[in-house]
Amino acid sequence: MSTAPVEIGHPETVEHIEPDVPWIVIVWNDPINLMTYVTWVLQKLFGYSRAKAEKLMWDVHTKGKAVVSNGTKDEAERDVARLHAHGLWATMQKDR
Amino acid sequence: MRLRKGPIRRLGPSRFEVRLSGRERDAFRTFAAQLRELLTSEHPSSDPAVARLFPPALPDEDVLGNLEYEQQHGDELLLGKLESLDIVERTLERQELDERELLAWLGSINSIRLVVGTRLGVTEESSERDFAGDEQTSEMYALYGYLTWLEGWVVEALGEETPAAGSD
Repeated sequence: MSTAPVEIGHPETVEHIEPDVPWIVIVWNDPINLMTYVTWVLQKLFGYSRAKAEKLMWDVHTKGKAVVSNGTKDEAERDVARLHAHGLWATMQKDR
Repeated sequence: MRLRKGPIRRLGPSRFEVRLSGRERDAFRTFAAQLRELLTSEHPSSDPAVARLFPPALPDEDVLGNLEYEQQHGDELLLGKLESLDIVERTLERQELDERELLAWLGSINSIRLVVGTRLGVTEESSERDFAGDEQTSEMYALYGYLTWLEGWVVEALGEETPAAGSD
């Protein structure tokens, strides 16, 4: 760690440019969808390997949810719609 | 029924064998017709079990965002489900399906399970005993169990390697 002299700055112009916050897509656990089906959907929609899809499915099952993709708002919305078309419980939110 | 193996089997890259009894096909037909009826009713989403097929895309408090999403995607979601049902109704008697047809079966089976499971209030710990109360409920749960069994085999068949290409 450096020991730079303490700088007393006067940041008069703090720029408030909203960074391009990515969105995340979350799949939530539900008691009806089969585990094998959820794994299959994640492989099919996102091209994930079986191992990756299974890991995400287990996270959904044991932790209640998992982030399955991220991107711009439009991309997240498209992914959510595809997941909904397959009956999965998915939502999107800004990645904070 | 529980012991019988493989009602759906992959035969080739886009060929699947379907071995279901007439009674099983009839049960599926009845459920498919009921789903169509629910989906084409005037306000499908006013039924919580049907609303399960059209979940919100954003956290519940974002009412406006969810409304926009519904306007943007609600119709395509509904049309996709109706299209799957069209294919199911057309191919219900067949002994062989191509991949697109089997995917339509899978979509419809899953939609029906979601509606029936939601209506029954199924949980991860549910067992037959929980629904033994009255005849209608236990029958519904038995059919739910049947569709669960069938869906498991469809997913398995879709994931199967093409026989000629060998499998692990």
